[in-house]
Amino acid sequence: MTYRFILALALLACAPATTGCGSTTPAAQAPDARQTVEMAYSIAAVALNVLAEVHVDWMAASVQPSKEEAEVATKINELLHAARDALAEAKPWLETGKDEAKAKLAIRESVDNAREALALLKNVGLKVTEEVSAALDLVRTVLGGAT
Amino acid sequence: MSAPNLDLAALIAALASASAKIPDALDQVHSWMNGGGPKPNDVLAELPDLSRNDLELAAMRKRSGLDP
Repeated sequence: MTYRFILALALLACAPATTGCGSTTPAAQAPDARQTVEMAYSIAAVALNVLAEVHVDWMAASVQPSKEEAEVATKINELLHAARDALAEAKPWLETGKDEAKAKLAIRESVDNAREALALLKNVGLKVTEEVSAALDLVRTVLGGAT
Repeated sequence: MSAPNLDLAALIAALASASAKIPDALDQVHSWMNGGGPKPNDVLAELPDLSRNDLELAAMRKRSGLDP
C-alpha cells in the first residue's frame, strides 16, 4: 500500500504546476495553499484515529499489565489528547481562512505529538503500520510545501 | 519493559481494520485532486473520540495496581 503514499506525494508535488505533471486536470482544480493545509489536517486526523484505535485495543487486550506498561499507556493517552487538541485548534482557523499560519503550526504540533505516541506504541511491541508513519510524513511534506 | 499481554488475533484484526482507513483517505485525496470528489476535509476531518481510550486507561491502571 506504500505506493499510494508515493503517488500522493507525487501528486502533491505537482499540485502547483499548471497542468499537474502530465495530468489532464486543469490548473483551476488543483488545491490552493489553503486547501493543501486542509488536506494536511485531514490526513493527520485519519492517522490520529488509527493511533487511537491501536492504543485502545492494546489497553483492552492487556490482561495483566505491569505498572510500567500502565504508565506508558498513560503517556500515550496524554500525547493523543494533545495531538487531538492541537488539531481541534487548527480547525476554526481553517474554516475561516483567517490564520493559516497558526493552523499550520497547530497541525505540526499535532503531528509531533502523534509521532511520539507512535514511537511509544512501537516500543511496547505493537507493530503500528508503516502507513501511519507515512501519513505523518506526508502531513509534514504537505505543510512544508504550502505557503 | 516486559511484553504486553495481548490477544494477538484480535489485535491483528483491529490493526487491519484501522490501517485500511489510510489508503481510503488517500483515495479521497486523489479523487479530489483530479476533480472527481469532495475535498477530503469535508469527509475525513473527524477527530478521534478518546473517551474509550480514557475508560480503558483507567481500567488498565487499576489492573496494573497503579491505581486502587
